[in-house]
Amino acid sequence: MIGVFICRCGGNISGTVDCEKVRDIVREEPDVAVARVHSFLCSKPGLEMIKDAIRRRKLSRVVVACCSPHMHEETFRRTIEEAGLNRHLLVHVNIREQCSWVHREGATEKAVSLIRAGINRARSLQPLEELEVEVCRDVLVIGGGIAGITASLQLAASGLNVYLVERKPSIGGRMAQLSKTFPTLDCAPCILSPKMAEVEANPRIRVITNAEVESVSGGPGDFTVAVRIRPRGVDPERCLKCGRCASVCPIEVPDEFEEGLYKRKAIYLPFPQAVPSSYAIDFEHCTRCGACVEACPAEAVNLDESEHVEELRVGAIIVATGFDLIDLERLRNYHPEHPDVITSLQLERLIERELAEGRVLRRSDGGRVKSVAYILCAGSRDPHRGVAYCSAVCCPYAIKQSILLKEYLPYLKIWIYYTDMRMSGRGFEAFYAEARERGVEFIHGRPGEVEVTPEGLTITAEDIDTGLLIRNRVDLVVLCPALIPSRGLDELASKLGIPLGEDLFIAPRHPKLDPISTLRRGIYAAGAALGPKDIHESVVDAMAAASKAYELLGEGRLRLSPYKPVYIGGCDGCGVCVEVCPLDAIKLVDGEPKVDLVSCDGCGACVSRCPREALRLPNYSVEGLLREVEALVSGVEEPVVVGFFDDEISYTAADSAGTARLSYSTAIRIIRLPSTALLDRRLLLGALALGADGVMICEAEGTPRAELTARLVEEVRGELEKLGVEGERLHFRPMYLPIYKMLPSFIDDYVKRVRALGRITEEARSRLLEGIGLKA
Amino acid sequence: MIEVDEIDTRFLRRLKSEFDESHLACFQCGVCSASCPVIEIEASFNPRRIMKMTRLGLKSRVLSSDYIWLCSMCLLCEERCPQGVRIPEVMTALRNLAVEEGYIPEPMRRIRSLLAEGGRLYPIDDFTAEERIDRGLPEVEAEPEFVKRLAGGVKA
Amino acid sequence: MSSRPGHAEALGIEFVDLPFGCCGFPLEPLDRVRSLAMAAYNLMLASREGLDIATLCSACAETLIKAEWLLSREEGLLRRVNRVLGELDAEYKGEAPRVLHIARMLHEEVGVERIRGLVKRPLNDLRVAVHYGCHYMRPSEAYGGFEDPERPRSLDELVEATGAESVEYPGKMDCCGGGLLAMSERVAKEMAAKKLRRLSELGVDALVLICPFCAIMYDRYQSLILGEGRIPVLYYTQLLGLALGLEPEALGLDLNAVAVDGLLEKVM
Repeated sequence: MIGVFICRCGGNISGTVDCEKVRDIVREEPDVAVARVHSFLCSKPGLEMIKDAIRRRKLSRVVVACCSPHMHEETFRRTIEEAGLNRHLLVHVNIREQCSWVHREGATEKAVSLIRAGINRARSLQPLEELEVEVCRDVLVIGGGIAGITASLQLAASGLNVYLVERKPSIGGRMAQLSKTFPTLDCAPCILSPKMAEVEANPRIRVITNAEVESVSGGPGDFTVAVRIRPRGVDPERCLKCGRCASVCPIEVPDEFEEGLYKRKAIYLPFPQAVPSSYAIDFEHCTRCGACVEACPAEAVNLDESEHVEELRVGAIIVATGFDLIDLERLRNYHPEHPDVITSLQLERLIERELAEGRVLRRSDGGRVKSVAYILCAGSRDPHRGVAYCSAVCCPYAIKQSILLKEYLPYLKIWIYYTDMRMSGRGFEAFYAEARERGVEFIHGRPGEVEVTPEGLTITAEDIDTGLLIRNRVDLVVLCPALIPSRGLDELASKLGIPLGEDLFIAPRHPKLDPISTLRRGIYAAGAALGPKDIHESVVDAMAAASKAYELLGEGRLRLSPYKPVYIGGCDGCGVCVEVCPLDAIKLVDGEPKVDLVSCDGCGACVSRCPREALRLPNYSVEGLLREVEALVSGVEEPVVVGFFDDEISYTAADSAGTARLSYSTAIRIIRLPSTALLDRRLLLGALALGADGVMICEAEGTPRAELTARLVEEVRGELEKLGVEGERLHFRPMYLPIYKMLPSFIDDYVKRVRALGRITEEARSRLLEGIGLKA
Repeated sequence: MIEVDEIDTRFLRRLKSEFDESHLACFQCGVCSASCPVIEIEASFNPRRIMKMTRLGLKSRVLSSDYIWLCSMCLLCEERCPQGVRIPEVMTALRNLAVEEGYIPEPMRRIRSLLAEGGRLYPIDDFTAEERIDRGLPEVEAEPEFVKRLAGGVKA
Repeated sequence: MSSRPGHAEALGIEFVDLPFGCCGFPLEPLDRVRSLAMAAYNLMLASREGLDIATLCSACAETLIKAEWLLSREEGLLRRVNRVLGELDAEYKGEAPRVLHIARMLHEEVGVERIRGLVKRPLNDLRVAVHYGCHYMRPSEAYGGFEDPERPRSLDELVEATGAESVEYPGKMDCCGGGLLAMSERVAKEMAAKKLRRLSELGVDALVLICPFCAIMYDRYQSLILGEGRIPVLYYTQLLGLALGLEPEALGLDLNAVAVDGLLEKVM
């Protein structure tokens, strides 16, 4: 007996879907014992209603029709479990993101089809038992800035061991470069250094500097991460930090910690509070002259140290790679190459190095700086020459810097050119007021140009508040560059198998409710890897990420999804499954396939490719899926398209299109698959045989699954043509999340093509049916 | 004072469908006015303000104004606009719409009739024609017909 | 500019005269569709002959390139333009001959190095200010970004190829005001005056430009603005002609409004 529960979602669904009408129709389906509508199915009364119906009407399967399963599937699984049903006897039908939010006309009819398909699916479901495995309780934290440091300390305090991997020779990150923090004016190094020292002293934390992630394999609870460690050239255990090595080193290069404003040697202490507290060699510039080796009294220098790769085994990963500043090269009108046009991060260094001595000097001629102009949004909110988003920290730090400058040099004239002042954090507004009271001038208007004239730097802007042009001559121009993801994040993300958003920061599992989880279980993110963030937010993220990692690993045992291939007998040892597995998660042991349950992500490639049909994925049988298709396409007059979308990327993209209220044709009906690698020729031909006129298959671009699927589609197209059906009726579209806005046009374009082909004739459909050896 | 009755949404719809929708992205940062070579000489011309008034749908105020004719079309604002607003295209649109409404400055009428009647903005007079021959330059069509006919069709 | 036939020979370019007419730019404020139709008509003339278009005027280059760009992306606009072209029994079908401003052509097709090699009379003693104007490289989107719209270099390089020095000066990228000459002579003159005043303080041998509209403002109007002609204003090909060893008479220098005698003395 099946219960169907339909959610109005407070108008979000019932605004376009006539929920009562849907209920009245699906109530008539065979086996449906109960069909009910609720305004908020996920609320406590809604959930109680479901539980009550299960108990009283002795329901054996439950279908909920509401938001995306990515929102609440877990909620409903838990609910039916509480009422005594196996949690896997639930079908979650998405009539919000992929129906009511994307369609105006025809949403009700489509909802009916989707729910009917759900009812068919419900019939084929079998109860499943959760799998449990032992997990590795160690965690890898990538990035040693304030987010990585905080996460590491939090994890260690919870009793987990941590590898903290940092690309630079010292941890500390961007915060170590800052003077003071906003809005409280705490000294940044003073609050950061103790944390760094704690990391160094903590026996549960191993800091690995000069290191980058090379490759990642395995899955939640059991990742294997290869880390490439570049030589440091100095043994931190021996180094006394006496500095004799640096004093004899003949090589001088711009110091990246000082944002290139000052020089350092090729052997150097990254900064005074560096951790590991030791000198390091910059082998890119070192000439191996050996002077430092001679000078070192502790025999700590080793020029022959070589690069090596170390394998780490961890149960979870936290990505805390921070941010970089955008290259301002394209903002030519601001003359970013002029020595007196500097970045705000350079000014942080000037404040640290020079302001304490009571002055700030022009870089061009050493003259005393008497006036400073800030240009906010340099490259931010400017998709044409920079990034589309707001960098969030610039307004408050510009105010912070100007207050600091005013404190030491009250005579300084400071102008802040802004587009919109955004000061929404706690205590920020008072900070803004303080700057005004101290005489900092705010000009509402983006400057057109910084002109280099014989008299100095001239800035022209419109002061929008007066509507007058203002031309200003200043000694120093401070550009506030857009924050962009740390260099190499895209590469790291693809190694980790986690998608990025449109802005190229890491995409969160859910922007509101699961903001620090990535789309891959066991991998979390914190701080500016997720978008422009200040220290406070980065720390909150880091604590949350540590807590999520602990939630996963704390007990040492991990509950795994039961949707893993099961061997049902008949293997002849051909090894195709081993070949096709993208994760090396299946092996032949004693002539039988054996699945590594932790590594396996249940994509189904081994199942669909096994020539002996010796493996199956629970609750994803070909017959079951075809029954779903049948319901999806029945009763339509116009050509109809079935979508097979992988759950992680394509289905999420379709949800995002819904959240953005984009719209597309109702002719598509999407089936959510763990991955499209599960598809085989019987499913594709079967879908067309049973009433679909086109099949659109979407899979995460650039993945091994996408390759498998693309190849399958190519093959089956050939078979279609032979059976007298247009190959175009199968359409493969690789997807990646940042282009979700284009998904509606992909769908509409394909629907248009299928419409042009018209419906498949009944004779052709029966040929297809024969082709896969099925009967109507 | 802007009275709500002054707001003309049909004008906005036409602007969007026939000319340009980029102006909808304008967030009033002022980089256009800051970059404008005209505003410093003639303060009544303020591209940022024109974008705002246009967006508000102040049709008759904008179209009957003198200032929409003062853009020098240097295109610098378009280059620098962070939101991709094609300000000069909007100016052209406003001017075209003003012409439709009968607001045509005298110099513009003159340009039209020069082209419609003689096919050239700078007519080839006898002196120029002779100079060309003396300097070994080929003869050119004195009054290009297609220009005359296309310009002749401009309603002014 | 009448400084043409001699160059063509020296640089190995063949120019063909086609019955082009107004590019459409002056008509844009009145009727954009008709202005585009005019541009499209000119494009079709060149396309029919299978030729590229070289323009001497920056606004012509911009208008033609923008027309190609716009009409290839906006179907509705294309339909409206073709409705107008129907009056002439013509239809624009997306003809897109290459449109090159003469300076861009010299820079990209002939090349700075070749020009340097052809110089017979190096202008080493000249310090000149270059004026790019606006439409030579803007809008950069339509131009495909061939030049930096903020700090272009090609004209500087072309000038340097003649041996002359191109000086950096504030206001190098200013607009001449020519676009406003019809609407407001006062504003246009004031705009041109900005550069002319700066240059007379700077003391350069010439202002080198690449657009006849700019020439009107800086050459024709100079004595009105400064009270007298002080700064010779050369179209680039006139400067190039001098460097290639052509005679001043062949370069139409006698037609310049501001006398160039001082400059010629320095060069010859």
